[in-house]
Amino acid sequence: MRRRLETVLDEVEKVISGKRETVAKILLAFLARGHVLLDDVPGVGKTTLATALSRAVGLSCRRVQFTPDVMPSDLAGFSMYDRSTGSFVYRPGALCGVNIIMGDEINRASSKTQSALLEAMEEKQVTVDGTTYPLEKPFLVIATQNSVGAAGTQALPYAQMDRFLVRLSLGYPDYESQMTMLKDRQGREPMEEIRCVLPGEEVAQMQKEVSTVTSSDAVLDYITRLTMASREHGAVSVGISPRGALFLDRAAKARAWADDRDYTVGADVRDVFGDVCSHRILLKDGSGETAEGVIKDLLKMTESPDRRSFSGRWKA
Amino acid sequence: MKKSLTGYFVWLFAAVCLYFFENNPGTRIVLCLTAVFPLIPGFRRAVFSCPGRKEPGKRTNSEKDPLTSGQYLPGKGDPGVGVRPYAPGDPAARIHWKLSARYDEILTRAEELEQSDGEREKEKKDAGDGTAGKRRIAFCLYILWPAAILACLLLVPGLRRSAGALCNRIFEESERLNTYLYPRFAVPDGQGILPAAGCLCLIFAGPLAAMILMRSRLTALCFMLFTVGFQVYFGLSLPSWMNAALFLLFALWCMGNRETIRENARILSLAVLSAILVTYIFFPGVNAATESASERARDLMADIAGTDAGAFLDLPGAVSETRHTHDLSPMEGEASARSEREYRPVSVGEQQISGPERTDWVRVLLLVLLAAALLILPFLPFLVLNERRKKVRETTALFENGDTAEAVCAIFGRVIAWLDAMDCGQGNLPCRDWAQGLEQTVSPDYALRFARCAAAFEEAAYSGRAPGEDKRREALELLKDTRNILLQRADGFRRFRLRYFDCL
Repeated sequence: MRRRLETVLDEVEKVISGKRETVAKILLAFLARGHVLLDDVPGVGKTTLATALSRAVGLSCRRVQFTPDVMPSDLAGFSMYDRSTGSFVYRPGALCGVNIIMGDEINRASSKTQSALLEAMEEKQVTVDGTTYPLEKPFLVIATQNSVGAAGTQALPYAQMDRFLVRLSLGYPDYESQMTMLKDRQGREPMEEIRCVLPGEEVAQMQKEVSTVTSSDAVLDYITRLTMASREHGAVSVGISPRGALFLDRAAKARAWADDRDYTVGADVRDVFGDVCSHRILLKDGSGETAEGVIKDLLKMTESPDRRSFSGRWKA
Repeated sequence: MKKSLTGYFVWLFAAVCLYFFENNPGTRIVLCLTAVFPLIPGFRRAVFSCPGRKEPGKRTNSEKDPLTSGQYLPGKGDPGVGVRPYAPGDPAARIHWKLSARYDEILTRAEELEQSDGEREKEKKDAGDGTAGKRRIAFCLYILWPAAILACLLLVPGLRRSAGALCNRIFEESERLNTYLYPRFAVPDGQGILPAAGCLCLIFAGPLAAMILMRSRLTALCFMLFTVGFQVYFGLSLPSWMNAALFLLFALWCMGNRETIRENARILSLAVLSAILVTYIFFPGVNAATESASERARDLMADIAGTDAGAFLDLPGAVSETRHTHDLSPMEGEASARSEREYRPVSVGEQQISGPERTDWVRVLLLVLLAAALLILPFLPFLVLNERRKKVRETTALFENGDTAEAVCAIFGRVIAWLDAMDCGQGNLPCRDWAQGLEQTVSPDYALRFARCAAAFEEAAYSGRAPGEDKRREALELLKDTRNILLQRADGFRRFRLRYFDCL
């Protein structure tokens, strides 16, 4: 792991202890220009984590609390009639002008609001009344969602799920972590102590570096075989999309970069596969499988590119 | 052991027991047929494969595409999928009004969490029950059905008589064939059989060794072909029980677990072969006992009839009035079996009998196959050795390749092959993750060096850059050490196999 990333992790650890790996994954997703979906039960620190991260990397952050009556115009902005000039004036919405959008409980929003997010997430722009406004760069959405089934929530549309690079979950802290957390909050607020250790320009620079990492044909072949296998798996009704394959490659690149390499290897893809793809798999009704089980299955039955490379350089 | 094989063995054991208990040819045929059953692909799948497993890539029409029909959310499907009947206490917000209106019954949206806990368990249980049910059907088909037919053959008087008639018929046919075959083996008295038997054993020793060493199913098939071919060609055969045991052994050897097309084709051909074998075991009746009995009978007849024996030549088909009385009671066992074999002399002066006019195509085919096999056999060791030498030359050439990337990949691949062969491998895991496991299975020091080499390999395989000469040297050293460490661990036979077959 690169030194600069370690410092960010150290900062975040002041607030969230014992979740270093998850924080690293979020950071890597950020470097791969992808959005993050945090999926967990309430109260394990999803929001705290996102806030701490945005403070540590020194990017502007805005929090949007999604409720059923948040409207698309609240996010993208709207045009208002100005009587003095006699024309319409664009009023930017919540998405405009910030780097990190923290969408809290995104699965409580109505579907039209969620679809307003689609364009922002994919094209990094919003369109209001036929005019397109670009968003700040870099632009990242960290959305949190409570497990589907909690009152007042609905499952995210598949199209939107597909736009998140990774889906992560924090899980409950272990004994030591929880003790640390309680002790840290005796009479002080650790969130105040977080310094910005990674200025925004550097983040942009890192993102550029990540995009120069190369993937050899062997790795691309592995990604293709994995995703195609997911479409043919018996328990899966909708497999990993081509976009998923693209994201997989991007996440693997970020991982390789963090490992001080300028090329991806099979192990990178394998490591990120679960996080990148588990929310892209739609299981058949009553198949009795879990997405995690399918992911494991796919990794097991797809031959690793290492094995294919033994007889020299990989050839198509 | 695989479940399918266990089932097969159980049935085989039962069949063999019955075979020895029931000494009647008709019953034996049925037994052998049931032993052949599992070799037929479709039947095997129906009985042994798990019905719950779904074929990948096939989507039935009834399952709608959830993306296009918008049905993938729970609570929007048919009643029964995402909804359940209203129970007192359900919140009103949870009532699915639309579906309630359609089905004229108040339905509540089922929560997914509920489903994940309770219903999924139940579904799993249901699926399990389904599997068990199909197993039961399979058991009925496979065990009870043949058993019932056997019982009918033994117990129903009419069937028993008919089976007796069938046996008679079989013996007639066999005797007819004997009269045809016997003159081909006119030998002076007192000729020892040991040299020929020795030669036969020597012939079988080669394929047997190859079969054990190479675990080749093809060899097993060839071996089986030999068994059949020799018996047919020389007209003398092993006792039929030995035949049956042999061919079942081969069949087991050839039975694969993978359900591939090639596998099935192999098994199908095997089934055909076994059918031929069964036919040849029972219809010619050319087992040793028959042989000696007819010989005795011929001598007797020659004594009685003297030189006039040639008069019998005109008898068409050489047998006509042979009849045996069969009592199919299993209780009489060996005694009744022996009485069946007291043949009436069928014809005399067989020395002068010419064979039938028509050509026996089955025989010709088997002879051709046999000849081909005999031609290939002496060269087999050379072929194997040659192949090996070629492979060795190729790999060493790769190690010395000018492109260090290819060389490092090849060397590292060989290291992995060695680890795999000694069960230290970790399958599909990326190589960089192997080091952890190797720490325990080999040694920490080795794991460290392995990790270094794995990094070099990854660079060579994925980066497109050629690593330095030192990387190649390091990898070669690792390969040498791997060989030494693993060869030290292997015991005698394993070492032999490792050195000459698995890893070159």
